[in-house]
Amino acid sequence: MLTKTSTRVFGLFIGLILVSLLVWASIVLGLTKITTQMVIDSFTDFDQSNEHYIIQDARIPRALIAAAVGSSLAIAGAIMQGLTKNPLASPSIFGVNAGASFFVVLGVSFFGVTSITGFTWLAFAGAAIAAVVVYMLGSVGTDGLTPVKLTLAGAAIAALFSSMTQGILTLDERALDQVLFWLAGAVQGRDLELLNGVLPYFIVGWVVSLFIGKKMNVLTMGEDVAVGLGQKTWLVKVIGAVVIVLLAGGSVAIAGPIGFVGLIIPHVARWFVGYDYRWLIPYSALLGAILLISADIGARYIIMPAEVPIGVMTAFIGAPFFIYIARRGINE
Amino acid sequence: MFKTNAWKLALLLLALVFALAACGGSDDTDENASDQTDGDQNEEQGEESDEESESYTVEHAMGETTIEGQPERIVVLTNHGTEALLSMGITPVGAVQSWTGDPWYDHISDQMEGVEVVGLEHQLNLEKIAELEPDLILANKMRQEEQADKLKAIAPTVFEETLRGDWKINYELIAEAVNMEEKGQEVLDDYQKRVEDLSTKLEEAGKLDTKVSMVRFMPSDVRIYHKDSFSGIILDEIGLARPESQDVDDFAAKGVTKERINEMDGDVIFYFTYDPEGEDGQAVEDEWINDPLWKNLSAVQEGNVYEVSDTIWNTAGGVKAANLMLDDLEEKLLSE
Amino acid sequence: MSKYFNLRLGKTQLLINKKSFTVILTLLLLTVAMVITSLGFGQMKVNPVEVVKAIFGYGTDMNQLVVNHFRMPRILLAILAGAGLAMSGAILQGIIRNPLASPDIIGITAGAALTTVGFLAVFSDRSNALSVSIQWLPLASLVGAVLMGVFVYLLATTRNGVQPIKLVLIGVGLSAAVQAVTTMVMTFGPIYTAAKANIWLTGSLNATNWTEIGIITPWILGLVVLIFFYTSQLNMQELGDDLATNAGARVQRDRLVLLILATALAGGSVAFAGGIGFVGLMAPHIARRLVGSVYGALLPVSALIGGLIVLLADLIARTAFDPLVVPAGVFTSLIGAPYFIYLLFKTRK
Repeated sequence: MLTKTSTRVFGLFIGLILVSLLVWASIVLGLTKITTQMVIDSFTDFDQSNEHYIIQDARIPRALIAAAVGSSLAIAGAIMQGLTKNPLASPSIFGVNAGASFFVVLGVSFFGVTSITGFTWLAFAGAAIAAVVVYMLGSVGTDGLTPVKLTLAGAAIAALFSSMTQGILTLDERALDQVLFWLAGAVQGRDLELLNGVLPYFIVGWVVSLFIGKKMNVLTMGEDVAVGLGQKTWLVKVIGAVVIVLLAGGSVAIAGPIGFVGLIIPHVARWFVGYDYRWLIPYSALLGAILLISADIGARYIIMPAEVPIGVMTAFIGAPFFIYIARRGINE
Repeated sequence: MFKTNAWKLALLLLALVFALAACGGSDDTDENASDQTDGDQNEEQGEESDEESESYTVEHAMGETTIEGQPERIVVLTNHGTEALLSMGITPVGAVQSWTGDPWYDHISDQMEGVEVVGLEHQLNLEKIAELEPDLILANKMRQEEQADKLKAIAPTVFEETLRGDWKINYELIAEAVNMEEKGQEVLDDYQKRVEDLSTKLEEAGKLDTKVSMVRFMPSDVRIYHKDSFSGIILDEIGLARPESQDVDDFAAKGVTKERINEMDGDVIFYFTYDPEGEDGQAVEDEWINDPLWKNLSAVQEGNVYEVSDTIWNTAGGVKAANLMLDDLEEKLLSE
Repeated sequence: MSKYFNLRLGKTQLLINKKSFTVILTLLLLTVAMVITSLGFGQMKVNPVEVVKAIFGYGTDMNQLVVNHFRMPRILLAILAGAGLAMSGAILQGIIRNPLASPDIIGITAGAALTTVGFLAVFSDRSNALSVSIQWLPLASLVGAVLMGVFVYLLATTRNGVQPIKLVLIGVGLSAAVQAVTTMVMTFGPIYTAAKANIWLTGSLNATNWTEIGIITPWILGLVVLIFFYTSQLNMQELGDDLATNAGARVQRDRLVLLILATALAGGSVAFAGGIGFVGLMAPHIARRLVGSVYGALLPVSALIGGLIVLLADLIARTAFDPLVVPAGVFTSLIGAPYFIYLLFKTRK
């Protein structure tokens, strides 16, 4: 673990370099042979060759989307784990992704929504509703909000939303075709416009998340302690929840539901910087980007020339990790 | 005081329900037998087709079926089967809904007036079929194997073995099942002659070695069609060439990304878009054909790109579609 | 007069509340009524008198064909699969001591889905035909369910035996991973099987025949008999490890047996009915509202409610979109969701 502030800053610096390197790798690696020189030329001296179009229209968008979505999901996961004191909390396990997907499908199917803005707001609404319902369900009963109850509530709500999504899709095949695109979960073939549409919300989410680190530290010491120290705990929770909704909902709007990133990354970040949220959140952001870009690069090589869906990649990486954490045990 | 308990009662009643059900089930077999004899009697009393009332036996994927007399009320459970019947001048009483169109494909809808929808190929409405009182059912083992017993209980049923690109395999069986092998052979011969004619004309025009590429846009996928597909087999029959990457004996390349766009190139590109009711697959098509990468393809730059009907070139997969596809090829390749 | 019936059967002792008795009786009557209604409804309307005549073999040929051959098998499967899933859910909720556990959430259904889709992909030959009979499909599904149960159990086992929490957490995680693989197999597998796989995943009773009923009936009824002898152990599980051990229960062994029973029930049900969701979660919930959480009453009430839910879902599925038939699984969640949300808010207050 990195303890000294200077090494932590240095770590962040290394992380940034790694992300940049991976973005570069993501642009260069793949089916079409691309060289660094071509990448530079595609900016300075665009010659309308296939390579230049692929760089500009395919590689760069997917690299940037993977970076943005990876960071956002990881930050959302870190905040969720902090607020719920549950090491297994994450947007996919808690049904937030499923809720966002369900609302997108509902909007397309019944209200004919087709615009990117429409998708984004539907995804936000779905994420918010799922988060609230899961939180309420998880805190039913005398022993309050326990990790197991929360996980089960999340799984139940996720199952409910996905089966309702399936129901609508079976009844309305038109929506099925339009929405399958979103349900698959991918950073490939997505337009940069999608990212631009969601970027303002992401930026709000990222910036706010960096500033609530200290408050989160107090809150994780326990509700009583936090109140004793004069913290308005409800306010921190509400802000945290809004950030989660913005980041997780925005991610679904761009890339569809991608699981496990928000679950694994905060744990990895904790190996580096422990439980200090002021550091945990930026580290999660960088590591999330690293994971998703790497997974996306890997996805191109496994069954080349076809690609593995990125949701499958993250599930393969994430599931063993999830089981490891679950086996190690969590406090009930 | 009661001495009994809820559990015992529950088990007892359940057992009772199942005993009743089992009776119902076993009665049923007897009843089928009588059902069929009834059918025979009707046929005999019918008097309208005495010459054809001899029985004939068809061997198929799920055994042998004996059909008494010329079938008059046919229910067909595959979409290519519907086209086969129409091509022999038979209108079925019931058919499964077309994959696109409401409820029938455009190219058959004028011949399908009054035909009842009996569900989808993979989700049959058995009661509807029974209600139509057919005297022959044409089914497919891959789609309807599980319902074989029930279909047989309604009427004699003939099962095709496979579902694949080559429509002629199942066509012969259908012709045999409706006891119209001669008429069926005629349709096949006509088709064969058209294929040969087109092949000759193309050769004369020096265009038989044109490399034909086929691309399909779907709302959730983009595919490049290879040789073992409905349209791939027809191109092969004519003897048209294919781009190297498509000259492969399998079905299609699925999940194609923009990076593989070069595989779409050829001397001529035919593309078709699966666009079930509405404008949805259209969005994918628009995105691709407006992409600069698409515009960089040599076929596109030379203007040898044609949009054709997805129903005809892929989805329908029947004899009428095959003939219409020949029309398309003739028109587009020999127009200049 | 006591409020309870006291029943002893060897070592097993059951106390059954009179209220529960009334509830069970009412539900049974309701089921019989629903069966007769359901037998009468569909493409052809058959009035109840004709239905009864057809069942006993005195109806018209057409009525007998429709009632006995088409509708009866799917109705029986609806009841059996619904009951199987509901009891499985009730047992799992007991072991895990949480009312939100169910066979679909801990991954049993997901395991079955993977082997089902895998079966369809692996045994499709080059011409897209299945190289083995589709009759083996249920076996493939069952194997998947069982394997998943085994994996979850093994992964959740530590030195201290199996903790219920770990059981559920590992189930949730593993099923997410398995679902990803299933999606992948479907995307890259043969196209003709994708449509079939999709119907299985949603859960459909459309293809039910008497042979299947002949297999699933003894399976479910046999398990019901076994569970009957384990009811008191199930009540113990609800107490938690410490209390149960003090009361002299062999907690770990019982837990394993109960888990096997729950897996077998759910596996058998989905093998024939497909991945019908939510019944295993919902039915025990509703049952608990009606009769409380003593398993002697909870299990039969859950079973009856589960059967009723699937029966109703299937009735809607085959009548609402005439002449098309849709998978029943579409409606279990649509029926269930409003009640589930109502329940949620009621518990809050």
